[in-house]
Amino acid sequence: MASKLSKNGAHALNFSSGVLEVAGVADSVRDSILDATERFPGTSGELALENPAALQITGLDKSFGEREVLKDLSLSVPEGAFVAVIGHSGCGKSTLLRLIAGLDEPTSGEIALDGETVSGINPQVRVMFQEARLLPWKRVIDNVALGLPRAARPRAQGVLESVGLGDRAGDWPSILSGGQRQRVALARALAGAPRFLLLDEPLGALDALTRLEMQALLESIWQEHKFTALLITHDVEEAVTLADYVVVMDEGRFIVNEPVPLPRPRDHSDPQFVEITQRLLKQVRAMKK
Amino acid sequence: MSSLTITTSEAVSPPNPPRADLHLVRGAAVTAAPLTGRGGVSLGAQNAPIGQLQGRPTPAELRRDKEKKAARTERFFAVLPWVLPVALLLIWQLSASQGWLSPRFLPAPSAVWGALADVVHSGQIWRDAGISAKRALLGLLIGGGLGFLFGVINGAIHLFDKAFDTSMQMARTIPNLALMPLMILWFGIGEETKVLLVALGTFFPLYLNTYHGIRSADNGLKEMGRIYGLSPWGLFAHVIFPGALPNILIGLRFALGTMWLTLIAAEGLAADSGIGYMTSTAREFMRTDIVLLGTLIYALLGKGADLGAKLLERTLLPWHQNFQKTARTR
Ligand SMILES: Nc1ncnc2c1ncn2[C@@H]1O[C@H](COP(=O)(O)OP(=O)(O)OP(=O)(O)O)[C@@H](O)[C@H]1O
Ligand SMILES: [Mg+2]
Repeated sequence: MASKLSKNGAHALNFSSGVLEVAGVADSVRDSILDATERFPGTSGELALENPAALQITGLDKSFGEREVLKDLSLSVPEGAFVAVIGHSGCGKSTLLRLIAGLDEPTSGEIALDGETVSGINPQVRVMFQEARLLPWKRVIDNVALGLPRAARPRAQGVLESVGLGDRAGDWPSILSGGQRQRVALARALAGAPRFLLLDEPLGALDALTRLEMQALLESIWQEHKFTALLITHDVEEAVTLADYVVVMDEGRFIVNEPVPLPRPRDHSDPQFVEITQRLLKQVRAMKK
Repeated sequence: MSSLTITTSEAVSPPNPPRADLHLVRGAAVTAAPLTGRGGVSLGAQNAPIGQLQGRPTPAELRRDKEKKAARTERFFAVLPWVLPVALLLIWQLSASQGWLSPRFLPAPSAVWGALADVVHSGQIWRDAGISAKRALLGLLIGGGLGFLFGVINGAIHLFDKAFDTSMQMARTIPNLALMPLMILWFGIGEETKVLLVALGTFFPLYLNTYHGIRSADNGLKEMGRIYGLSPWGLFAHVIFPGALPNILIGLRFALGTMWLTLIAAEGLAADSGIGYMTSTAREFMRTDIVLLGTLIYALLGKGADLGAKLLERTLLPWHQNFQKTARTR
């Protein structure tokens, strides 16, 4: 079955991984999925055709040798949406992200970005990892300008300023704090004006305060640049803070798709925010063995 | 001088009234007590500035004292490394001049100095040192250069790695000096023998470290480079090579070590010029002073090469943590 969910009609996330056929999913999870679909009645499937998805995943499988890591995933993400993926460690989140980034190839199935099947690296896609992965031998500004054509280099200073580090352009990365390094990595990702930003737990290594700051920064930058974002995180609250849709993954399958139709910036004490967070937490706990 | 820095002798006459900072003068108070009977206090009272008499040192004074102390510590640590060598030199000179050491066994430092004056005067030293340095550098350039080149190629290109690395690893187990007899058979005691031996000796340190540096490039960074659209060449130039540079420079330092070692051995056995030749001839004439001088010159040349390598590290690796003590510029 496909649960078509919408947020003010413009964004529609198509989510069709045979949610209810998933074997071994606890009844409580099944119930809450039903709850969710009832609470946010979907629009008809035709809308997706009029407004083709920016990211379309169909029947995606990925195995490493004998181990099947991703099992028949399907997902379609409208342009400009912010999707968060949560799930237990080892359930295949990073694998999925690497496939979308073109760093690895699917065993079967297809991923399409803007209607084009992914094969190899795509300049429209940028990735942020848990580690900033800055080149220690390049100054901050040169890290940001990595891979940019010479003519576009002045942009680097601009994006560096937009992440609040305009005055650190001439520093070596090694003297920056962890949060500052991630901000440089974010600036570097933005410098090429990508249409997709994939984030693999980019805030996972930061302390709680820096995390909150970075979440706010990410949100404002996403609103300004209007790229399509896919965020992998372990932090349910972070997912609900940032995402239009939260997708829960379990053992290589999508089992839940939770829309978050709340105004931004989101208030953590808003009863609806709390409710959604609690529901997701319950679902994540339910699938734990 | 304020109470912070009083030394024991001054402490005999503490300038501070009893209510002054106890911890500052405690030592003084204890040692001084039995001695002060004869007017320590009155002496101090005459000499000490009024301000000090009446209370604790001001913050400015404390700061100045701290700076003085820091400067003194710095000077101490600048001098400390030289204490042992100078002491040894003095003992050596003393033993020689007292006749405890036979000049055949170990001539006095002054005798070595004399030998130096002689060879400098005759110009022999410049000729020999120059020839030795030339052989060393030429050998390093050829051997180290090739080692570096093969290290890069084998490290970066899988095909070459498969084709050559095993052979390299086998060849490196042969000590280069073991090839000396063969070299002498082939080339006599000409320049080729020495330069080739040095080249062989410097090849492997550079090869191994370059290869290792290139191979151990950070996978996360390589992946990042790919995502950012770097070409294979761009990946090498921006990610792999700069990351390998610290290893390459370590290889260079090792190579400099084997360079002198090889040269000393080769010049002693198969040469008619150079510092090694000078010392081995001196040995035949039992001129221990010149032998020592030659050893000393090798040490100096070696130290010079090492300094050069350090300088190179500083200029090529400005980003490296080890050289970043003052990197925080803003
Ligand atoms: N290159 C690979 N070869 C073999 N197995 C792999 C490979 N990459 C990932 N896996 C396996 O795929 C599974 C999913 O890994 P993945 O990194 O996607 O998990 P994850 O959901 O990102 O976990 P985490 O939250 O801990 O990062 C794991 O069991 C992992 O061992
Ligand atoms: Mg992961």
